[in-house]
Amino acid sequence: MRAERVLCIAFLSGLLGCGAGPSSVVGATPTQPSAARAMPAAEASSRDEVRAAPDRERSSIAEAVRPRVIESRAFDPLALPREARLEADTVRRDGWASLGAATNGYKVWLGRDLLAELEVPLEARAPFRAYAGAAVPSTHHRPLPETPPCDGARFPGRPVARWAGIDRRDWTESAVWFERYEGPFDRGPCRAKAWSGFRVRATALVPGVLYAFRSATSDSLVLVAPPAEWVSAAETPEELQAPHVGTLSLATLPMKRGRMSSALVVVGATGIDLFDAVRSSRVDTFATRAADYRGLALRTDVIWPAADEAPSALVVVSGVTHLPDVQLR
Amino acid sequence: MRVYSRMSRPALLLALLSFTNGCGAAPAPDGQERPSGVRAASPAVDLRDCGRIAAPASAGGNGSRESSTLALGDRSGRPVAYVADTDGRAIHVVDVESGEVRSAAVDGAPEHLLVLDDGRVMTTISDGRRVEVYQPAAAPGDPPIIKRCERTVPPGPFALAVSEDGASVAVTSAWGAALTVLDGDTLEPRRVVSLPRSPRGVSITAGRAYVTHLAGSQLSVVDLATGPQRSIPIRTRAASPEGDKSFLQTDREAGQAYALASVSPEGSSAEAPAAIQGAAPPGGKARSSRLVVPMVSIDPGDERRTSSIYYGPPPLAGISKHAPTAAVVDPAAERSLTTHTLAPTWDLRAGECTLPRAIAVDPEAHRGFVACMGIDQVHVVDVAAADPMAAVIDRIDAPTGPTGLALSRERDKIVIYGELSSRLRIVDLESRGVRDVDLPVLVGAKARRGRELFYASDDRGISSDGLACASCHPDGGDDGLTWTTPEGPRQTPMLAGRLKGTAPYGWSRGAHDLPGYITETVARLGGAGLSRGDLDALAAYVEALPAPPRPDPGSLAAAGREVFVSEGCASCHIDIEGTDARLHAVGAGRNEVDTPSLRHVGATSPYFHDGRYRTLESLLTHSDMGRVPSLTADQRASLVAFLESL
Repeated sequence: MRAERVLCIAFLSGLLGCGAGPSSVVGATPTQPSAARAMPAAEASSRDEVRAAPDRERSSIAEAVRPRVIESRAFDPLALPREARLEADTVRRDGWASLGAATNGYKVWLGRDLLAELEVPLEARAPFRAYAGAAVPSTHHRPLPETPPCDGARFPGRPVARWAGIDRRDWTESAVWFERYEGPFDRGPCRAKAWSGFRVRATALVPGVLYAFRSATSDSLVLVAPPAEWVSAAETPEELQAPHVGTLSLATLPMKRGRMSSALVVVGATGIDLFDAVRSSRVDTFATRAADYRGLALRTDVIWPAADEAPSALVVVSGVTHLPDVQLR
Repeated sequence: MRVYSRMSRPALLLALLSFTNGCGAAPAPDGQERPSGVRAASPAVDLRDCGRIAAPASAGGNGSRESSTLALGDRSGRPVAYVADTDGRAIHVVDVESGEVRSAAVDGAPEHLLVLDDGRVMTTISDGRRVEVYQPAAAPGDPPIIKRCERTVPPGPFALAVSEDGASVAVTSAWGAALTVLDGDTLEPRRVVSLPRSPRGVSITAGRAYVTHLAGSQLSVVDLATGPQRSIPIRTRAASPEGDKSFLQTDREAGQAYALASVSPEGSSAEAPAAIQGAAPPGGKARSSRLVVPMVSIDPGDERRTSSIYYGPPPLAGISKHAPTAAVVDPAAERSLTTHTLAPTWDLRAGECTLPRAIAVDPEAHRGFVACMGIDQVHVVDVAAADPMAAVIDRIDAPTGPTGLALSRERDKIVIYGELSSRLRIVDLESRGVRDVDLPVLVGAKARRGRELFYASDDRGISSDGLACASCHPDGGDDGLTWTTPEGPRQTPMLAGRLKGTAPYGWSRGAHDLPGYITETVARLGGAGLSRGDLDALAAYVEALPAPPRPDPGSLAAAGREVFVSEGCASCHIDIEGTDARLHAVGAGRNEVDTPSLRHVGATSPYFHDGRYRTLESLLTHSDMGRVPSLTADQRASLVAFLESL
């Protein structure tokens, strides 16, 4: 039950091309890994577990075991930076335009140097989404790429487009600039203009891998991670929505008194490599310790019991042993 | 309830037992044979006096305020472990440092133990209706423990907890569905509060008792001073980006909630989670305590998600049918903060803690230790996480069937009781050294093997997805759920005390041979199959599962018996608790289903083969079975009282 993805690792800088990048080897097979490929439970055990000879005969199930925690880190979610609204005259200079079909995707021109994701919600059909230069992902449930909604003659109106991403400049292991914009999409020239924008210096919860900030528009925490193998988020049924996985993985955690919210992002080597490559630096902190694993499971929890003055939060980093065919570094 | 051993005990083992002085052999219930030479603890003091030990020769335990099958105490400055050997009907006293074992027979099945701060040792007698109180030996030549007194409680007492100030002790009664509050000094009963079915673990925090249940997906809360019971739902939903979202909004049930612990997430130790630079947690801010309930989140399926091959629907969105989860409960708001179970990956099946039985918490290091029966491991989890069962820090191999845990007062050792192997394991958490202490084995080899198989949750021979017999039949009972099956919705039947002489087996499968029925069931679970010897051992075990103690009959029960007979109920339910061994077409759809035994029917809701009735009242009001439609209101009320007394 994994999302099949086609990622583009051509980075946005002015005119963008795209196609299926080398990272498409990750998760290219939409089927469950077979038992033969899965790691035996014994092999997946950590070296420093307390082991003893079993007392009884048993034919254990030879499948993957739950990721084991490498480290947990507490943080104060209210101490994280909050998005700031950009000045109107700054925002107006931004926008993007679709330049038509290309091999395995669409060319998109973007006015900012962002590792970005674009979305245009459309009535009566799935939204148009483009990632990092217009590579279009597909999933089991949405197998066909959506086309850019550049059909203004037949469908008048200007839907609101949203785009967001990481500013490639000044991206360090401990912090990154994250920007998001929204504005009308003109179907005739196939172009979006920004009418509002936000910018924040997101803090790394896991150096170089997982960043977070507080939303300007809601009481929530926003997580930014590399393209993931698996994202799962706990929200109320009314708020349940698929956290999307493209060039980035984004998940939103509500912060409300009396509530708890969680998101789990499982990233493999290729996703981490993508972030490293764009940032042009590697993180030693987890590379060394995660060498035994094939990926990292990053679970972030925000917990706010009713009697507490403020929420508390925790990010739990676990080693994943059984991402198929991928070895972390 | 676990099976009482009818096997002969090796004479060699008897030499290990250090018997108490005084009394002769105590009779075992139902006339069963007691281990030769094992004698009950002597009433050395006035049995009516349960008061504090005036000049204790030993101090209290490790500070644990919740019971387990294992409790730590202190005797003359040396740490001792008390072990409740339910099947062996004995309490073993183990010198943790030397490994010396001394044992005392108990007139009943001791289930849980709790050491109070003055050294009194309390135990629940789960096949009876009492708690017993012991005091440690005062001198080296004395028996290991001496019985002080006993207190009567509703049937099937299971777990114990003591309040922070020691002023109150709470006792759950699994089959009497009640909580008894005792005075902490005198242990005199203060009040008895009715609970929903299948209560198990209990913890006391800030004047309230919180009780887990094996069925009903709820946590009970009771104000010790005032009662009555209130419920906190602990259902979860699946959380995942994939799959049909309408399915993801389906409630999953909660099960296997045997234990709970109160934790404070703000530790002061260096072992606490590292802080994130620039967003360190604020120091000194008060954080409220939370309750952590290890359990499983269960998806039995529904009319939209049926199964053509086995029990329940296929795993949804990467979350298995029985998914380990911990409900984190906000006690102040009386609300579970845990709303969803997150899929850790898409294909997780091995080594899962689907039969959690005990939890011990290291409050200063954010660590929780969860005894995982079925996989014979203790999972070390981060109790500060939103779902501690999803944050497994470490795995410790445990002796077979871990049901009890205790953390040493210094927090440097964890002691694990492997109930199915009669073994105690002491793990040094610093050096990671392991030392085993073998306890007297009071159960025969075949019964032990059957018991092991019943609780094996990670055995490819039994299932393909980690389910054990005990997953749906906890303690040999039922999970209170209705599962989708190839034959339609089917309610989980209780096994304990209901199998012998009640063939055919299965609601509608008409199996007259128990090993054959188990073979079919294992195949349906995707298991590779069992050897003939294992099959026989498992069949013998489940058939010998003893019935739990009967509930107290209500005042209308006698009249209800007359109605039962006069209205012809006994024509199918032969001898009331037996069956006519036939299939009958009942209910909408006129499915032909087997006549079930009615033993302990009052505690096995929901009712009917498809679980359509939540209560006996509902069944006797709406069912068209037999002469039910013509019952008068008075007849119905007395019949309910009678059925609840079985």
